[in-house]
Amino acid sequence: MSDQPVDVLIIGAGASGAAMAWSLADTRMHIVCMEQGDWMNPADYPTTGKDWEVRQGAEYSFSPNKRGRVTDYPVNDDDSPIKIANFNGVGGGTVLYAGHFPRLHPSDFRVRSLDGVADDWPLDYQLLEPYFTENDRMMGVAALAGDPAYPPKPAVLPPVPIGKLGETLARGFNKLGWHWWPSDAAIATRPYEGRDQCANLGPCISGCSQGAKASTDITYWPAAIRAGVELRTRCRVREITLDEKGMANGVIYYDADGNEQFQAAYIVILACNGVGTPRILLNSRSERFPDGLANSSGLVGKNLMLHPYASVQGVFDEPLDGYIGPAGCCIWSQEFYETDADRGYLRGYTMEITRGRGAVTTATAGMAAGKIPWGAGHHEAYGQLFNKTAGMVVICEDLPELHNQVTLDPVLKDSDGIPAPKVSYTLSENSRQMLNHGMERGKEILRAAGAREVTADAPMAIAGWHLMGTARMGTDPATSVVNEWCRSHDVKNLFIVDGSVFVTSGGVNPTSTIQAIALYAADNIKKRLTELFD
Amino acid sequence: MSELISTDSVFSAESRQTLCCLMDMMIPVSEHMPSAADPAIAALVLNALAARQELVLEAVAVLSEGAGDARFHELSQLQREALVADLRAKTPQFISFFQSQVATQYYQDDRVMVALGLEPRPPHPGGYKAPETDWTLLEPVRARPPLYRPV
Repeated sequence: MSDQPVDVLIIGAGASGAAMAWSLADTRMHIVCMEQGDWMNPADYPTTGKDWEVRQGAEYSFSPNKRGRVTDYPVNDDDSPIKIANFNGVGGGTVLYAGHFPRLHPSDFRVRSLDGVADDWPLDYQLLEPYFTENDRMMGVAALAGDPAYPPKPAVLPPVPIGKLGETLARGFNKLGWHWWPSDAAIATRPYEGRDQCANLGPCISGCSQGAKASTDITYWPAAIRAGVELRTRCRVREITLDEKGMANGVIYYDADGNEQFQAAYIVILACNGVGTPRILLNSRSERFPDGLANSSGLVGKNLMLHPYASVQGVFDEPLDGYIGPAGCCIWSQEFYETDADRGYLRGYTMEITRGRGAVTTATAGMAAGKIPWGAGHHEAYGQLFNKTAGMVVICEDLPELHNQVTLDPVLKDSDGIPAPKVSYTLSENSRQMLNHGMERGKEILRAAGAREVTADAPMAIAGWHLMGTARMGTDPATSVVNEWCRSHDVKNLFIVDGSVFVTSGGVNPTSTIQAIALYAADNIKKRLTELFD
Repeated sequence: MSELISTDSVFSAESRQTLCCLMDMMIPVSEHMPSAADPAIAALVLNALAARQELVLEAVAVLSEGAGDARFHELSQLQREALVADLRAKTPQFISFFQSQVATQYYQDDRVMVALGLEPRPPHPGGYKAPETDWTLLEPVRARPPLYRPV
């Protein structure tokens, strides 16, 4: 037990916790970050072995339920067609993310004003722009300047090579006259700040053995620790405690041996993602907050947004060398990003071109789909698919709905006895229409690029990668959980800086925006230190 | 067909023969590719199948029962295919597990990887060389006005 308070206690060492810790280190305050997982060793990542495809689906699975590490907590997602993905360790979800690194667009912060749906954010793209830029520098983002889908923005490193597969798809986009651009990628395409350059290993999504992908264990954390931040692993926070004045005064957590501990703190910052954060808040009940901490609005855990994904695949006659290059970072299209009401839905989506499947996955997926038979026809059918398949995922904006939510499971618990999160989620009609539109446009592109056979499927069950909206920001305490700089309306020394604070989801991967918001919140804390709790 | 003889397998010699026969039915030898029942591959598959021994032995029992007085691997191709079709209907979970284990081991085999045009090694540390991108492909996109919506 430690009754000696630290100045700042950050819970979670992932994308936002790392950015927050690094920025606050300027203050020379005593900053401690508690992470329930371990440091990762890139030498252990699957791409160091020929069995990488098997391990990618087991101990490096996106799903905490499938992965089942001692550092994971279970998630009851039976009541959702999209299953929750995360990673628990230093770096959090960035350990397993693709590094696909788009920003939200200016219009994403103004959806009520522009389209009459959901709510506007209490901040905007222009306000966040310097934080996006700072974050791009810290993460080392590879990009090509000049993308007409965005306001002008700098490129820190040269773009990832798009390869034969990318060029084939690009020609398809050009035939249709549709937008495409090399993806912004949090991948070092040149040696950068102690990181080696990308070696085109392929499956970034099971950890980067090369150390080129910007997971925060190798970007923000070394810098934060050099600046004096203390990072404690294997500390699983159960609840945040309050003093008699209703201020957060510390956390109760379990250490690596399962012993209950207490750490006092003057400021508590939650950075546990859109499922982990409401879980801790809902589990932090008191007389003052019988429905969970900072929950006077009743919105903690509500409005969960997941980004429904569609998958569109095409088979080509020629080899595409899709195993060369970052699997999730090639080219993107935002032709259908902004609202066009004639399409039958509001808001829009990104098309993210993905590279090919590995040799084993081609076989297992092909046989499961009935495309590769047993017997004499096996080799020929396999040969028609392997290294000749290209495709994309369609990332749809998910609008907030109260009934999509995270609650505490009454039965399921983690290994320390903390209630597991329960996710209840349904697809909206708007999302269904958007997915259908995306699948049809995706098929058109693949055919234009020369695919002889195209298939599409939605929603992708495995794709609960983006967890947002469960502690939304706003200026009105009745309709939001945190204010516009991420301080809880109810508890003045409690902050939330992960995807929970998103008001809407945009139609892009959220990590860049999550980190920009964390840096913005950190800047506000630093600027307001003398009046922080007023 | 495999000549695999193993003394430390959890499966009996007859079960191993049946399973190797199934492997060969799934992925037979071709001009450039080995059979999945190649001894080196089959040994790895049998090891992997042991993780669900009960399920596997149930399937072997179904095939043995179907073969009657004969042994499964001694049946004609047509007879074996009929029994496998029956097995698919009775224990689809076995077929799914078996296919996955065979494909996993087969497509990691060095000879198979080489035949597919791959280097027989993991991605790291060697990595792969990507060709230079032809950025002139972007010319029509660069010529477009901004797509993002003004706010």
